[in-house]
Amino acid sequence: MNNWLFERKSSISEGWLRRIFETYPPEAATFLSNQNDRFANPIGSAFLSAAGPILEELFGEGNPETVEGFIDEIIRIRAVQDFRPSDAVSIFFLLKLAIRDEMTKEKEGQDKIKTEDILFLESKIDKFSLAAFDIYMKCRERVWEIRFNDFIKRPFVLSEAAMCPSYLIKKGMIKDVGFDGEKGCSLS
Amino acid sequence: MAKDLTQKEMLRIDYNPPKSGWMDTPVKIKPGIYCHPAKPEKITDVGMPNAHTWNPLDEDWNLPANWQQIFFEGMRERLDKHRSFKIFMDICVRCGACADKCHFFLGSGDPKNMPVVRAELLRSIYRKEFTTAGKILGSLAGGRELTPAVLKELWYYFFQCTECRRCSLFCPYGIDTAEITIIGREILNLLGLNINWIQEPVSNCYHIGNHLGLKPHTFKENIEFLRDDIESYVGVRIEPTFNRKGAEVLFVTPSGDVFAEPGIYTLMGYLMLFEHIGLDYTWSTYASESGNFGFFTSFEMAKRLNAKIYAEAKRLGVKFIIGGECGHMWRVIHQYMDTFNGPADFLEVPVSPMTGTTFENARSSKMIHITEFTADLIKHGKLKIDPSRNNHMKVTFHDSCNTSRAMGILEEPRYVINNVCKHFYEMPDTTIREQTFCCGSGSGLNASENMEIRLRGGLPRANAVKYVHEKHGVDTVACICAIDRAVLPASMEYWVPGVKVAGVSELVANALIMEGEGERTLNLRGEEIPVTEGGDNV
Ligand code: SF4
Ligand code: SF4
Repeated sequence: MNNWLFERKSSISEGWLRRIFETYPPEAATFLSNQNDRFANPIGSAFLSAAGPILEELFGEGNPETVEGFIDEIIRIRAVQDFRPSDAVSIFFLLKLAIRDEMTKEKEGQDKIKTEDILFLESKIDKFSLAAFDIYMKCRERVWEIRFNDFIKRPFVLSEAAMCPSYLIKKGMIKDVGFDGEKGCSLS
Repeated sequence: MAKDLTQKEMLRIDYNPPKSGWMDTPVKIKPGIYCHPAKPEKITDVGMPNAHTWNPLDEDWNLPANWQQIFFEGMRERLDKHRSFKIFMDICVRCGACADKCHFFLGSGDPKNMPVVRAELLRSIYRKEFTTAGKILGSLAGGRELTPAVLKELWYYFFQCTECRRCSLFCPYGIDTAEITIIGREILNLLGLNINWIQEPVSNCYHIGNHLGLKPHTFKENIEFLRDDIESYVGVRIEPTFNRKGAEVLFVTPSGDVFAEPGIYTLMGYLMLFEHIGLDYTWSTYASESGNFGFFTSFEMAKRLNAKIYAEAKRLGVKFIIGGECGHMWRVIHQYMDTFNGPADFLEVPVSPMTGTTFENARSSKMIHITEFTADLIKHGKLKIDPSRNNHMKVTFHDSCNTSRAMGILEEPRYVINNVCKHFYEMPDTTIREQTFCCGSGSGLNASENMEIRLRGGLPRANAVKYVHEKHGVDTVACICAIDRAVLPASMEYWVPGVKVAGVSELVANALIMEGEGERTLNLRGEEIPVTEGGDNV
């Protein structure tokens, strides 16, 4: 691994976290990045505690499975937040940007890093992105399973068609949200 | 060359969308966040106005032509009627102390879920319409027009507030955003914009007697099924009575306890406890609901649903009422009952028939919480308990927002749990007692279709459970609220798999040594109680 980048791990981590927090609305981004208490700021602290170990692994062996727990923790949160799937899993693309930021900070950075180092590192990041995507899908499927289980546990049999979906569809009160006749499958 | 290209591209690429302040960011209503609209007939059959068919995803919500007038008149009426509402509209200094205290904000990062902004959604309309500065200066004075888009935003975010009041704890002026949500929802109800998960239970409760719409015979049969389960697992036959005039106590509990898992185990706990102490009590198949979804609709509906519990107590001639493990019922009883339907002077101040303790706190409402009743029994040595049957569990306690913040039931459940379980671990101080985090699905937001917002709102609570799960191996969250019992399992399944949810009375009953019981190898869920080789529970 390129030493110059490795030495700047904490600065890269800071830049990466900043870029992640910027994916939230500005009023929230400040809070998420400033409050360190794990219980007062569950989202921010999940990112803070995951960033270090993930970078460590990335600059080392580069095996996403080793830090799967950390990736899971942050993707699990983003999987139920107001993001499109691509935005939810964009965190490792943001890491690429954070590394590029670091390189452009000092002229020396660009001179000291070989193109193949960068390509190698970015390939490793791609593996982490794919792992994030797998976890994202697992979380989304889990949400639907939980939602379904919750729905079938509803005691709707008791009050005539109380929450029966066919009633709601007939009345136009719910639509099939997965497919929009005019626009095709909706992303959001 | 390759490097040059990378750097140029690097400057161009930005994965982040442009950002704007909250007032200029239009609302985008998304599935997974909101609950289905109320069925028109369920609005009409309780005499509420402007029932109509509409879909939150549609541009046109089929509102009445004079909807703005209805809105403003409704708001004016409430500003005149509730001094607190008027004050809350006027005095917020936007200090931000409440901003990061809401579980929905903490789990979503959506600024419109900051309590101050949630209130500001309505306050901005107040300024524009009801203050001179706002009328003249408009947005410069923080005012904004009530457009259809703004109305949609109000609806979307008032149904993303669980009325938990955590924010109010931190406000130096005592502004209670939950009250703002309550009144905001009440105004939305004038336009027929309730959600079905609230409206249908309200209608059921009003016409049939409970949220689930269990008719008297079904209600009775269900409790009898659970009695049969107790006989199988415990070896004791219990004969509860229904609608019995002259009983000393009327017992009411959320109907979720009668039918939904894991609430049914809590109900089995009540049955066993009352049998154990020989309490002279009765169930009612008419006042068969202690919860009050009317409270999430309008004060008027809350009053009407609350009245029937007291009417039934009067009809049956009981001395006082014991309520089961419910959260928001207690907010209604403690903070609103006297104004709604009090004083209940046809009842007596509750005195425990077993211990002689007078429940001074219930001098006016004449109704006590099962957990305070049980704690008093234990304190006076009236229960025979074998806590080792719960030895295999590692338990934490989730304070329901309403029993803790609205009622101050803080010590009693802990005292009870510590007496019936060996391994009890508190979650961190800033997440329990008065500061407890909401389950994420209170105030009628415990539907299934809004699972994503439920999971977001459930994160802060689950995060604290996860901490004790990882640190101490906690595997059970105990609670004294039926909504908690209904919704925490979903939150745990997503955030902390392996943790189950139980009512405190279930834990009590598992430990109770019943007269004439058989060998207790099964718990109330019909599961084997783990036993070590030496015969002790692990
Ligand atoms: S009452 Fe609870 S849910 Fe509502 S804004 Fe306050 S903290 Fe959030
Ligand atoms: S803490 Fe009170 S005064 Fe401060 S912003 Fe919140 S509601 Fe307003």
